[in-house]
Amino acid sequence: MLETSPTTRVRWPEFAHVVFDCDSTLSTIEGIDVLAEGLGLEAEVTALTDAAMAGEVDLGDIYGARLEMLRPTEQAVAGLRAAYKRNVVPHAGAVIAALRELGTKVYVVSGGLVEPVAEFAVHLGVDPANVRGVQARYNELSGEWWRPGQAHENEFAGFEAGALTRSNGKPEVIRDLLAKSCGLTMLVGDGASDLQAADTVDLFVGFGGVAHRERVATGAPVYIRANTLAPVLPLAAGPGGRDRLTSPEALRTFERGIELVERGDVLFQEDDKREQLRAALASGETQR
Amino acid sequence: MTKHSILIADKLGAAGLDLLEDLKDIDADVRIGLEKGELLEIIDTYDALIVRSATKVDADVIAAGSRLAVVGRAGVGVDNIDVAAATRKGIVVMNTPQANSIATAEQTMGLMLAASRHTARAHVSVATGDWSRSEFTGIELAGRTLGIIGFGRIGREVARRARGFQMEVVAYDPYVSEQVARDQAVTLVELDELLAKSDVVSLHCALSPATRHLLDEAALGKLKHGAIVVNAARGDLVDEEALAVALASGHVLAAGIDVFSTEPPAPDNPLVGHPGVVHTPHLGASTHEAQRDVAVQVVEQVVDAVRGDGIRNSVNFPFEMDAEMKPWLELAHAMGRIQFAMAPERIDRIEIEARGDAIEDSIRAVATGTLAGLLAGFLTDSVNLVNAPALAAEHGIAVAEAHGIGSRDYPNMISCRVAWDGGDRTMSGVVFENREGRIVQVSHYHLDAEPRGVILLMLSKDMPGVIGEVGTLLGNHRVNIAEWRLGRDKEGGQALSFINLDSPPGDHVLEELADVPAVVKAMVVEL
Repeated sequence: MLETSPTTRVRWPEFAHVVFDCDSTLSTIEGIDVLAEGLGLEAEVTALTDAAMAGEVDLGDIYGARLEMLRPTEQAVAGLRAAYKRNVVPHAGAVIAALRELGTKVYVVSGGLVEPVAEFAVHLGVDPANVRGVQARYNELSGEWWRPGQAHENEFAGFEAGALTRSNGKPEVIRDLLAKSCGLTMLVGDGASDLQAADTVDLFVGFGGVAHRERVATGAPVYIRANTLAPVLPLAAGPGGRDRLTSPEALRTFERGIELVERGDVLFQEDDKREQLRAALASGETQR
Repeated sequence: MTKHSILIADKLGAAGLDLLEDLKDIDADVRIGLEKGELLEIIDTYDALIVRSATKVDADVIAAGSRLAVVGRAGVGVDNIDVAAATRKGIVVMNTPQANSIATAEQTMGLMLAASRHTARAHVSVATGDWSRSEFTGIELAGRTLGIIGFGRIGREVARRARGFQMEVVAYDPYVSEQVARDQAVTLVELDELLAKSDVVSLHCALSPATRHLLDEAALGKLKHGAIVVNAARGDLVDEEALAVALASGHVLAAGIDVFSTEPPAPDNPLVGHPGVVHTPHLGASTHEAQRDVAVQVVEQVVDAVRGDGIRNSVNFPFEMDAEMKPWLELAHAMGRIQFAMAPERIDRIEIEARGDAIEDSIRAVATGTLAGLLAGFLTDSVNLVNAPALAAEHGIAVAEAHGIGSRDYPNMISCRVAWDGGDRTMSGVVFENREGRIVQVSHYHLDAEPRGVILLMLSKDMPGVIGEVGTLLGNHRVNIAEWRLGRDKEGGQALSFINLDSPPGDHVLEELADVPAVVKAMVVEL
C-alpha cells in the first residue's frame, strides 16, 4: 500500500510495473462468454461468470465446469483473438504504449485461455513473456487429422489447473511474475479475483468501465468508473512520468486521464489520496 | 547398397537431372511423352515417379505401380494426380510449394506497378503510334497501404518488397500469430479493416470453400474508392463478374490479374481485355530460377523419401517427417504391434500421448506409427504411414490425444492406451540417446524391454524357478534367448516377461509353455 508522505511536500510515486487483467479490463468482452454465445450457452455461462466475478462462488468451483460445458475447439478459442481486438477498451493501447515509452514494465495476468489473451496482449504492445493465462489442451487427433493442409477442428481436451483457475490465485501468479523485480507495482482489474490480489501489489486500481461490481468499487483504493483506461496513465506515471512523455498521443492520453480524475470519474477510497495526486500533478513533484 | 529407381515422366529442369546423376544409389530414367499404355507397362519397375502437369497419374497408373512409394510433382497443383487412390495404396504424393515464392512475389509487384501506372495500355498506345501521356497519369505506391490477404510464404515476400516501396503493410490471416506479423513489421487486421484501409489489396491465400469468392460484391464494396486489386494466387478467390462491375463504376481503379476462374479464361470472361485490367497468363511461377528450384526441390524430396530420410511437402502424408523421428516411429510401430498381439478382443479405441520436448509436437507422427503397427497385425493389405490413419478410421478404431496416461517418468516418452469391449491396456516407451527404443511400461509392469525381432511375451506367477523352467524348455527346442526382461507387480504376484529370441518358437513350443503351471499366458510377436 502507498504510504502517505510524512513531509508536507506532496508526492505521487511512479510505478515500475503495471499489471492488467484482460477480460472486462483491456477488452470489453469476457472471452468465455463469447465462446458461450457461439454455442448458444450464453445464459448458463454468464450466470456462473458473474457469480465468480462478484465473489459469490469460488472460481475454482466453476472454472472447469464452464469449460466442460463449452468444450471449445482450438479454432473457436483462436477466434477469440479477433473478438478481443475488436473490443478494445478505449485508451488501452495508448496507455500501454505510453507506459512502454516510460520504460514501465507492462504485464497481463488473466484467468482466460492464454493463447488468445497473449495474442491480444502482443497486439497492444505487451511482451509475450509478460503474459500469464490458463493453458488449454486440445485433441490434435480430432476429425480427419491425417489430411495435411486442411483446417481441423481440434476438440477441447481439458486445461492446466493452477493458480489462475482459483479465485484466490492471482496474488500467487503476480508474486511469481515479479519475484525478482524491484519498484512499485500497480494492478488494474475489474473482478473479485483482482481485488483479492490488492494486498500483493502497491496499488490496486479497480476498473468499472466495462462491468461495475459493487465489491470491487467499494474495496478498491482507487476505482475508475469511466469506460476508458486513460486514468491509469497519470496514476501509474505520476508527474515524473508526464515530464518524460514526448509523443503527442501519450500526452493527450495523460491529459484525458487527469480530466477524468478532476471530473470525479476516478473514485478514491481516501479523499486525501485524490488530493495527493492532484497536488503532485500540480506541483510536478514525484517520488522516485 | 539398396538401389532406388525413379522415373521422370515430364520435362524437368536440368539442375534437378544433374543432381540425380551424381547419386550412386539412384537409377533415374527420363522418359518424356509416354503414352498411357507405355507408362502402365513400365511403372511397376519404379520406386518413385516425378511429373509436372502433363503426365496424368490416375488410378490405373497407381494400381499398376506395384513398387511405387512416391509421386513427386514439380510445382504446386496436383490436379493431374489421383491423390485419393495414392493414399489408399500408401503412396506418398508430394509437391514443391516453396520454390515459387519469390517468382510469385515479384510477379505480384509487377502487376501492382503496372496497374497503378497503366503500363499495359500505355505500351499498346505507343506501339500503335500514339503518344498520349496525360490519360496515363498514375498513382504512386509510396505512402499507400497494401493489404495482404493470406500471410504465408508468398504474402511475406510481397510484404518485404512493398516495404521497400515505402508502403504501409497490413495483413489478414486468421492462422498467423501477432508475433510473426510483428517480426515482419506488418500489422495484422481483420478482413473488413483491411478492405477499408488498403489502397492496394493483394491475394495470397489458398483456394478452399471458405476462400472461394473471398472478394465478392460485398467485400469489393468495402474497399476504398479507387483501390487496386491484385490477384496472382487463384482465380476463384475473386468474383470476376463483381470485380468487372466495380472496375466499370470506377470504385476499383485497376486490377492486376495473373489467374482466372478457368484457365485459359473463357472468351466472355468480363476481365479479359477490360481497360482497367492488366493481365498475364498465370506466369507467377514462370521464371528460370523458379523452374530450376522446383526441379532441385522435387528431386531432393523424392530422393529423401525413397531413402527413408524424411518426408516433406506431402499432400497426403499425415505429418512432416525427418530422420530424427525415425526411432520414435519404429518404437510407436512396435508398440502398436505388441498392443494388437496382447489384446484379447477387437481394439476399438486408442489414445496416444507424447510427452517431452523431443516428441510432444509430433503427436500425429506417434499416432500414425502406432496405428500402422496395430493394423499390420490383422490387415493383409499393405499398411504404411500414408494410409494407416484412414484405414484405422475405416475399421472403426477411434483415436484421441491423451494426457497423463503414461505412469513412468521419463523426460521424453510416448504412451498408448488401447481399449476393447471390457478392458484396456497402457504401454509406454522411450528412445535413448543412442536412438534405441525401449518399452518401459506395460499396464502396471515396469520394465526395460527392447522391441526388436522375435519377442516371447509371457505372463507368469512370480515364484522361484519359473525362469529356469521356461529357459530349459526353450533350450530343449533349440530356441536361443537373446534377452530376458521382466517386470512384476509385487513380490509373489504376477510377472511380465519380454523375452527376445534368436528364432521364432513353433506353436508346439507355445503349447508346452502354456502347460507350465506358473505360466498364465504366452504369445509371440515378430517385429
